Amino acid sequence: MKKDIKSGVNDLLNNFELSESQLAEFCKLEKDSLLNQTNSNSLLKPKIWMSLLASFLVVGLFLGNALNSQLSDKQKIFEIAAEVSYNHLNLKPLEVAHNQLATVTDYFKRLDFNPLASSQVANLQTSLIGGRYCSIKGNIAAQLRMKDSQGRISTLFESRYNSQDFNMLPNIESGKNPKVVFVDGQQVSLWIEKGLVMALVSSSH
Amino acid sequence: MTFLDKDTLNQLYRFGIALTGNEQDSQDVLQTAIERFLRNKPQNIAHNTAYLRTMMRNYWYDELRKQKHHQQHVQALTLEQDIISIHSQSLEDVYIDQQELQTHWANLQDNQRELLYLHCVLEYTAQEISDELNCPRGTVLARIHRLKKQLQKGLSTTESQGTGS
Repeated sequence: MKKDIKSGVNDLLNNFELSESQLAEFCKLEKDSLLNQTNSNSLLKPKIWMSLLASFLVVGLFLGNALNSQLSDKQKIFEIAAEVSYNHLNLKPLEVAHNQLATVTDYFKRLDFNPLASSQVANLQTSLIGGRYCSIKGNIAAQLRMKDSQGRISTLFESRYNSQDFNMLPNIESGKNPKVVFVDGQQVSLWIEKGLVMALVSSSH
Repeated sequence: MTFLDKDTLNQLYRFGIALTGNEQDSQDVLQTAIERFLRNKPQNIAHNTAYLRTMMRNYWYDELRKQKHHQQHVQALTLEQDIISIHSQSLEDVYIDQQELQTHWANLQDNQRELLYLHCVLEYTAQEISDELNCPRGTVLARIHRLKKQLQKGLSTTESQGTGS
Protein backbone atom coordinates (compact mmCIF):
# COMPACT_ATOMS: atom_id res chain seq x y z
CA MET A 1 0.00 0.00 0.00
CA LYS A 2 1.39 3.39 -1.00
CA LYS A 3 1.87 6.18 1.48
CA ASP A 4 3.34 9.65 1.32
CA ILE A 5 7.10 9.92 1.43
CA LYS A 6 7.12 11.57 4.89
CA SER A 7 5.33 8.66 6.54
CA GLY A 8 7.49 6.21 4.60
CA VAL A 9 10.79 7.73 5.75
CA ASN A 10 9.57 8.05 9.34
CA ASP A 11 8.42 4.42 9.40
CA LEU A 12 11.69 3.27 7.84
CA LEU A 13 13.91 5.11 10.34
CA ASN A 14 11.75 4.29 13.35
CA ASN A 15 12.80 0.67 12.87
CA PHE A 16 16.24 1.67 14.14
CA GLU A 17 16.86 2.15 17.84
CA LEU A 18 19.94 2.10 20.02
CA SER A 19 20.09 -0.88 22.35
CA GLU A 20 19.90 -0.33 26.12
CA SER A 21 23.64 -1.00 26.46
CA GLN A 22 24.47 1.50 23.70
CA LEU A 23 22.26 4.12 25.33
CA ALA A 24 23.91 3.45 28.69
CA GLU A 25 27.33 3.86 27.11
CA PHE A 26 26.47 7.26 25.62
CA CYS A 27 24.87 8.44 28.87
CA LYS A 28 27.98 7.35 30.76
CA LEU A 29 30.12 9.48 28.46
CA GLU A 30 28.04 12.52 29.32
CA LYS A 31 27.90 11.77 33.05
CA ASP A 32 31.68 11.31 33.24
CA SER A 33 32.18 14.59 31.44
CA LEU A 34 29.75 16.41 33.73
CA LEU A 35 31.39 14.91 36.80
CA ASN A 36 34.78 16.25 35.74
CA GLN A 37 33.20 19.62 35.07
CA THR A 38 31.45 19.74 38.45
CA ASN A 39 34.58 18.77 40.35
CA SER A 40 36.54 21.58 38.79
CA ASN A 41 33.67 24.12 39.05
CA SER A 42 33.00 23.58 42.76
CA LEU A 43 36.46 24.85 43.60
CA LEU A 44 36.28 27.78 41.25
CA LYS A 45 32.96 29.35 42.27
CA PRO A 46 33.78 31.42 45.37
CA LYS A 47 35.69 34.58 44.58
CA ILE A 48 38.15 34.04 47.42
CA TRP A 49 39.13 30.72 45.93
CA MET A 50 39.61 32.39 42.59
CA SER A 51 42.05 34.88 44.12
CA LEU A 52 43.92 32.19 46.01
CA LEU A 53 44.04 29.98 42.98
CA ALA A 54 45.36 32.83 40.86
CA SER A 55 48.13 33.45 43.41
CA PHE A 56 49.05 29.78 43.49
CA LEU A 57 49.03 29.66 39.74
CA VAL A 58 51.44 32.59 39.48
CA VAL A 59 53.82 30.96 41.98
CA GLY A 60 53.30 27.63 40.28
CA LEU A 61 54.16 29.08 36.90
CA PHE A 62 57.53 30.19 38.20
CA LEU A 63 58.37 27.21 40.38
CA GLY A 64 56.59 24.20 39.09
CA ASN A 65 56.16 24.54 35.38
CA ALA A 66 57.97 21.32 34.64
CA LEU A 67 56.17 19.46 37.44
CA ASN A 68 52.79 20.68 36.23
CA SER A 69 53.44 19.51 32.72
CA GLN A 70 54.54 16.11 34.03
CA LEU A 71 51.36 15.78 36.11
CA SER A 72 49.27 16.77 33.15
CA ASP A 73 51.02 14.17 31.01
CA LYS A 74 50.31 11.51 33.64
CA GLN A 75 46.66 12.46 33.61
CA LYS A 76 46.53 12.28 29.80
CA ILE A 77 48.18 8.87 29.84
CA PHE A 78 45.72 7.66 32.44
CA GLU A 79 42.80 8.92 30.35
CA ILE A 80 44.04 7.05 27.27
CA ALA A 81 44.64 3.92 29.35
CA ALA A 82 41.14 4.15 30.85
CA GLU A 83 39.58 4.50 27.39
CA VAL A 84 41.37 1.51 25.84
CA SER A 85 40.83 -0.58 28.98
CA TYR A 86 37.10 0.17 28.82
CA ASN A 87 37.00 -0.86 25.14
CA HIS A 88 38.99 -4.01 25.90
CA LEU A 89 36.64 -5.07 28.69
CA ASN A 90 33.59 -4.22 26.61
CA LEU A 91 34.40 -7.00 24.12
CA LYS A 92 32.24 -5.55 21.35
CA PRO A 93 31.60 -8.00 18.50
CA LEU A 94 34.46 -8.46 16.05
CA GLU A 95 33.81 -6.92 12.65
CA VAL A 96 36.39 -9.18 11.02
CA ALA A 97 37.36 -12.58 12.42
CA HIS A 98 40.57 -14.12 11.08
CA ASN A 99 43.94 -15.26 12.40
CA GLN A 100 45.98 -13.71 9.57
CA LEU A 101 47.07 -10.12 10.14
CA ALA A 102 47.01 -9.35 6.41
CA THR A 103 43.36 -10.42 6.13
CA VAL A 104 42.36 -8.47 9.21
CA THR A 105 44.20 -5.30 8.15
CA ASP A 106 42.65 -5.53 4.68
CA TYR A 107 39.31 -4.96 6.38
CA PHE A 108 40.34 -1.55 7.79
CA LYS A 109 39.81 0.45 4.60
CA ARG A 110 38.53 3.53 6.42
CA LEU A 111 41.80 4.11 8.28
CA ASP A 112 44.29 6.72 7.13
CA PHE A 113 47.16 4.43 8.14
CA ASN A 114 48.10 0.76 7.85
CA PRO A 115 47.84 -1.29 11.03
CA LEU A 116 51.17 -3.03 11.64
CA ALA A 117 52.51 -5.94 13.64
CA SER A 118 54.26 -4.55 16.69
CA SER A 119 57.60 -5.69 18.06
CA GLN A 120 56.04 -5.56 21.54
CA VAL A 121 53.41 -8.14 20.62
CA ALA A 122 55.74 -10.48 18.72
CA ASN A 123 57.09 -11.92 22.00
CA LEU A 124 53.65 -12.72 23.38
CA GLN A 125 52.35 -16.25 22.96
CA THR A 126 49.10 -15.08 21.46
CA SER A 127 47.29 -15.61 18.21
CA LEU A 128 45.17 -13.08 16.38
CA ILE A 129 41.41 -13.71 16.35
CA GLY A 130 40.09 -10.59 14.61
CA GLY A 131 39.48 -6.88 14.81
CA ARG A 132 37.07 -3.95 14.70
CA TYR A 133 37.08 -0.19 14.36
CA CYS A 134 37.21 1.97 17.47
CA SER A 135 38.65 5.32 18.53
CA ILE A 136 41.25 6.69 20.92
CA LYS A 137 40.68 10.26 22.13
CA GLY A 138 38.33 10.75 19.18
CA ASN A 139 40.89 9.52 16.64
CA ILE A 140 39.85 6.58 14.49
CA ALA A 141 41.71 3.42 15.53
CA ALA A 142 42.01 -0.28 14.80
CA GLN A 143 41.38 -2.79 17.57
CA LEU A 144 43.16 -6.15 17.10
CA ARG A 145 42.01 -8.89 19.44
CA MET A 146 44.31 -11.77 20.42
CA LYS A 147 43.96 -14.89 22.50
CA ASP A 148 46.60 -16.93 24.33
CA SER A 149 46.68 -20.71 24.83
CA GLN A 150 44.69 -20.38 28.07
CA GLY A 151 41.95 -18.43 26.33
CA ARG A 152 42.93 -15.05 27.84
CA ILE A 153 42.10 -12.11 25.63
CA SER A 154 44.43 -9.19 25.01
CA THR A 155 43.76 -6.26 22.72
CA LEU A 156 46.17 -4.15 20.68
CA PHE A 157 44.89 -0.70 19.69
CA GLU A 158 46.57 1.23 16.89
CA SER A 159 45.91 4.80 15.82
CA ARG A 160 47.70 7.40 13.75
CA TYR A 161 50.09 9.53 15.83
CA ASN A 162 49.22 13.17 16.35
CA SER A 163 51.24 15.38 18.65
CA GLN A 164 48.19 17.10 20.15
CA ASP A 165 46.81 13.96 21.78
CA PHE A 166 49.82 11.65 22.07
CA ASN A 167 53.02 13.69 22.48
CA MET A 168 53.49 12.42 26.05
CA LEU A 169 53.90 8.78 24.98
CA PRO A 170 57.36 7.16 24.65
CA ASN A 171 58.69 6.35 21.20
CA ILE A 172 60.30 2.91 21.45
CA GLU A 173 62.38 3.60 18.36
CA SER A 174 64.25 6.18 20.46
CA GLY A 175 65.19 3.40 22.89
CA LYS A 176 62.42 4.20 25.40
CA ASN A 177 60.26 1.59 27.10
CA PRO A 178 56.48 1.53 26.76
CA LYS A 179 54.56 3.35 29.48
CA VAL A 180 52.79 0.78 31.65
CA VAL A 181 49.80 1.67 33.82
CA PHE A 182 47.15 -0.39 35.54
CA VAL A 183 43.47 0.43 35.08
CA ASP A 184 40.44 -1.63 36.13
CA GLY A 185 42.71 -4.58 36.93
CA GLN A 186 44.12 -4.47 33.41
CA GLN A 187 47.73 -3.87 32.43
CA VAL A 188 47.91 -1.19 29.77
CA SER A 189 51.13 -0.56 27.82
CA LEU A 190 51.31 2.55 25.67
CA TRP A 191 53.95 3.52 23.14
CA ILE A 192 54.70 5.02 19.75
CA GLU A 193 56.13 2.80 17.05
CA LYS A 194 56.57 3.33 13.31
CA GLY A 195 54.53 6.52 13.45
CA LEU A 196 51.59 4.83 15.14
CA VAL A 197 50.23 5.04 18.65
CA MET A 198 49.86 1.59 20.12
CA ALA A 199 48.13 0.44 23.29
CA LEU A 200 48.20 -3.15 24.49
CA VAL A 201 45.65 -4.18 27.13
CA SER A 202 45.82 -7.50 28.90
CA SER A 203 44.77 -8.92 32.24
CA SER A 204 47.34 -8.23 34.94
CA HIS A 205 48.48 -11.44 36.58
CA MET B 1 22.11 19.29 33.22
CA THR B 2 22.09 16.33 30.85
CA PHE B 3 20.56 16.55 27.40
CA LEU B 4 21.49 13.13 26.00
CA ASP B 5 18.23 11.40 26.85
CA LYS B 6 16.96 8.28 25.09
CA ASP B 7 14.82 10.20 22.57
CA THR B 8 17.61 12.60 21.64
CA LEU B 9 20.13 9.79 21.23
CA ASN B 10 17.77 7.74 19.07
CA GLN B 11 16.92 10.84 17.02
CA LEU B 12 20.66 11.46 16.41
CA TYR B 13 21.22 7.76 15.71
CA ARG B 14 18.51 7.81 13.01
CA PHE B 15 20.02 10.96 11.57
CA GLY B 16 23.33 9.05 11.46
CA ILE B 17 21.66 6.20 9.59
CA ALA B 18 20.20 8.66 7.10
CA LEU B 19 23.63 10.26 6.71
CA THR B 20 25.79 7.15 6.45
CA GLY B 21 23.33 4.57 5.20
CA ASN B 22 24.16 1.94 7.81
CA GLU B 23 23.98 1.24 11.54
CA GLN B 24 27.68 0.61 12.21
CA ASP B 25 28.84 3.89 10.70
CA SER B 26 25.99 5.71 12.40
CA GLN B 27 27.18 4.48 15.82
CA ASP B 28 30.76 5.51 15.08
CA VAL B 29 29.77 8.93 13.81
CA LEU B 30 27.48 9.51 16.80
CA GLN B 31 30.08 8.35 19.32
CA THR B 32 32.80 10.56 17.82
CA ALA B 33 30.53 13.61 17.71
CA ILE B 34 29.46 13.15 21.35
CA GLU B 35 33.04 12.63 22.53
CA ARG B 36 34.20 15.76 20.71
CA PHE B 37 31.21 17.75 21.93
CA LEU B 38 31.80 16.78 25.57
CA ARG B 39 35.56 17.36 25.30
CA ASN B 40 35.25 20.81 23.72
CA LYS B 41 32.19 21.89 25.75
CA PRO B 42 31.18 24.59 23.27
CA GLN B 43 29.54 27.60 24.90
CA ASN B 44 26.50 29.62 23.81
CA ILE B 45 24.98 26.83 21.74
CA ALA B 46 21.26 27.42 21.30
CA HIS B 47 20.45 23.96 19.95
CA ASN B 48 22.69 21.17 21.15
CA THR B 49 21.02 18.60 18.89
CA ALA B 50 21.48 20.70 15.75
CA TYR B 51 25.08 21.36 16.76
CA LEU B 52 25.69 17.63 17.20
CA ARG B 53 24.13 16.95 13.79
CA THR B 54 26.60 19.41 12.26
CA MET B 55 29.49 17.67 14.05
CA MET B 56 28.28 14.29 12.78
CA ARG B 57 27.94 15.65 9.23
CA ASN B 58 31.40 17.25 9.27
CA TYR B 59 33.02 14.13 10.68
CA TRP B 60 31.31 11.86 8.14
CA TYR B 61 32.29 14.00 5.15
CA ASP B 62 35.86 14.25 6.51
CA GLU B 63 35.94 10.46 6.68
CA LEU B 64 34.54 10.18 3.16
CA ARG B 65 37.15 12.62 1.92
CA LYS B 66 39.85 10.49 3.49
CA GLN B 67 38.52 7.40 1.78
CA LYS B 68 38.42 9.19 -1.57
CA HIS B 69 34.89 7.89 -2.02
CA HIS B 70 34.14 11.52 -1.66
CA GLN B 71 35.07 12.11 -5.29
CA GLN B 72 31.71 10.95 -6.56
CA HIS B 73 29.96 12.91 -3.88
CA VAL B 74 31.88 16.10 -4.74
CA GLN B 75 31.02 15.60 -8.41
CA ALA B 76 27.37 15.35 -7.49
CA LEU B 77 27.59 18.52 -5.41
CA THR B 78 29.35 20.35 -8.23
CA LEU B 79 26.52 19.49 -10.57
CA GLU B 80 24.15 21.01 -8.09
CA GLN B 81 25.86 24.36 -8.34
CA ASP B 82 24.03 24.78 -11.68
CA ILE B 83 20.93 25.84 -9.90
CA ILE B 84 17.89 25.35 -12.00
CA SER B 85 15.04 27.77 -11.91
CA ILE B 86 12.64 26.25 -9.46
CA HIS B 87 10.31 28.39 -7.43
CA SER B 88 8.57 25.70 -5.53
CA GLN B 89 9.67 22.12 -5.10
CA SER B 90 8.15 19.69 -2.69
CA LEU B 91 8.18 15.99 -2.03
CA GLU B 92 4.63 16.10 -0.67
CA ASP B 93 3.15 14.54 -3.81
CA VAL B 94 5.52 11.55 -3.92
CA TYR B 95 3.75 8.37 -2.85
CA ILE B 96 5.66 5.16 -2.31
CA ASP B 97 5.19 1.83 -0.59
CA GLN B 98 7.51 0.77 2.22
CA GLN B 99 9.17 -2.01 0.24
CA GLU B 100 9.97 0.33 -2.66
CA LEU B 101 11.36 2.94 -0.29
CA GLN B 102 13.66 0.39 1.34
CA THR B 103 14.91 -0.66 -2.09
CA HIS B 104 15.62 2.92 -3.19
CA TRP B 105 16.99 4.04 0.20
CA ALA B 106 20.25 2.14 -0.20
CA ASN B 107 20.82 3.59 -3.67
CA LEU B 108 20.42 7.21 -2.61
CA GLN B 109 23.47 9.41 -2.05
CA ASP B 110 24.37 10.45 1.51
CA ASN B 111 23.18 14.01 0.98
CA GLN B 112 19.87 12.78 -0.48
CA ARG B 113 19.15 10.58 2.55
CA GLU B 114 20.09 13.49 4.81
CA LEU B 115 17.73 15.74 2.84
CA LEU B 116 14.92 13.22 3.32
CA TYR B 117 15.63 13.12 7.06
CA LEU B 118 15.55 16.90 7.42
CA HIS B 119 12.45 17.23 5.25
CA CYS B 120 10.43 14.21 6.36
CA VAL B 121 11.45 13.58 9.97
CA LEU B 122 12.25 17.09 11.21
CA GLU B 123 9.75 18.60 8.72
CA TYR B 124 12.15 21.41 7.83
CA THR B 125 11.27 23.84 5.04
CA ALA B 126 13.70 24.44 2.18
CA GLN B 127 14.87 27.63 3.94
CA GLU B 128 15.47 25.78 7.23
CA ILE B 129 17.38 23.04 5.40
CA SER B 130 19.52 25.64 3.65
CA ASP B 131 20.25 27.26 7.05
CA GLU B 132 21.21 23.91 8.60
CA LEU B 133 23.39 22.85 5.65
CA ASN B 134 24.78 26.36 5.20
CA CYS B 135 24.06 26.36 1.47
CA PRO B 136 21.82 28.52 -0.75
CA ARG B 137 18.08 27.81 -0.74
CA GLY B 138 18.26 27.36 -4.51
CA THR B 139 20.68 24.47 -4.05
CA VAL B 140 18.26 22.80 -1.65
CA LEU B 141 15.42 23.24 -4.13
CA ALA B 142 17.58 21.78 -6.89
CA ARG B 143 18.38 18.79 -4.70
CA ILE B 144 14.69 18.27 -3.91
CA HIS B 145 13.89 18.50 -7.62
CA ARG B 146 16.56 15.94 -8.50
CA LEU B 147 15.56 13.61 -5.65
CA LYS B 148 11.92 13.77 -6.68
CA LYS B 149 12.80 12.92 -10.30
CA GLN B 150 15.03 10.07 -9.13
CA LEU B 151 12.35 8.61 -6.86
CA GLN B 152 9.66 8.92 -9.54
CA LYS B 153 11.93 7.34 -12.13
CA GLY B 154 12.72 4.50 -9.73
CA LEU B 155 9.05 4.03 -8.96
CA SER B 156 8.02 3.88 -12.61
CA THR B 157 10.78 1.33 -13.27
CA THR B 158 9.58 -0.80 -10.35
CA GLU B 159 5.98 -0.54 -11.52
CA SER B 160 6.81 -1.47 -15.12
CA GLN B 161 8.84 -4.44 -13.88
CA GLY B 162 5.89 -5.43 -11.69
CA THR B 163 3.46 -5.19 -14.61
CA GLY B 164 5.76 -7.09 -16.91
CA SER B 165 6.13 -10.10 -14.67
